Amino acid sequence: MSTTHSGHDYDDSARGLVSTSTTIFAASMLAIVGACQILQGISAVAKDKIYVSGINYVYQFDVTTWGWIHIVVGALAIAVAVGIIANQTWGRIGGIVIGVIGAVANFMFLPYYPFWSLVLVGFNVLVIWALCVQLSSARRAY
Amino acid sequence: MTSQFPTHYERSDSLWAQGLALFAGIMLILVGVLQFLVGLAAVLGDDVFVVTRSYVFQFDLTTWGWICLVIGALAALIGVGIVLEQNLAYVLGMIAAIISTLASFLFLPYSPGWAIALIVFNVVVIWALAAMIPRRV
Repeated sequence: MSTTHSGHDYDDSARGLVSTSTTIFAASMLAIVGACQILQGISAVAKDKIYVSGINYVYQFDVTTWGWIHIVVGALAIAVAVGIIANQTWGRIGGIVIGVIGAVANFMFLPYYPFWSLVLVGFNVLVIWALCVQLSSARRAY
Repeated sequence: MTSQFPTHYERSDSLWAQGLALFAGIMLILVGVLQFLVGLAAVLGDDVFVVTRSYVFQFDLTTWGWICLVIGALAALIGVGIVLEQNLAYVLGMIAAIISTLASFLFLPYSPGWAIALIVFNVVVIWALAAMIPRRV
């Protein structure tokens, strides 16, 4: 199916299985991260009261600005997840980049709402790991 | 095509460990950048930090900030070395991740969320380097 269009038949070797399963895992996790981040952003833009407010903080911006940052990063993450599922190299490299950006953005947003941030930071790490494994197994297979 | 796959001779557990150099390097860069940003916030005296009661490892917040700044900058540099696959950087990266874990642990009363995230990141770096070093060095 999705593996056939890249020029070789379905590969049931151990390497092929690792490569395929990390691809699907990375794309699913990245799509979840993107969706959660968009929802988190909408909640911030809508000025929900769940966020801790009025703190003096270097990375302060206001909660609305943070909300828009999350919405943009989340939308990019979903777009990249589609690229990963479509077996595009830009998807894998873009996925690592967006994973790092998402981790930093959520880490700096942590004082506003720690639990969401910790969950999303953890998910971003899983995405980065899966894509690193994926990239190296793809590189050696061709 | 299939003849290029040396798959019969490789165990699948080692396949899962491939790409670890890249992963360890990226994670250590991430730890370094984040610890640097936390240090910067501490030096600038933000209110996000909890004012602690009497604490053995108290120093003032500014001192802790500088400690985080220095550890973070060094960790990020070593992380770049790991991405470039330098053997020396693997060992230095392990040491940096251990030091960063200890510093984050002691800093935890000031900002629990950030400290927990940094500790987990460092454990991930240590795991990746530990899985990789026997294969490379």
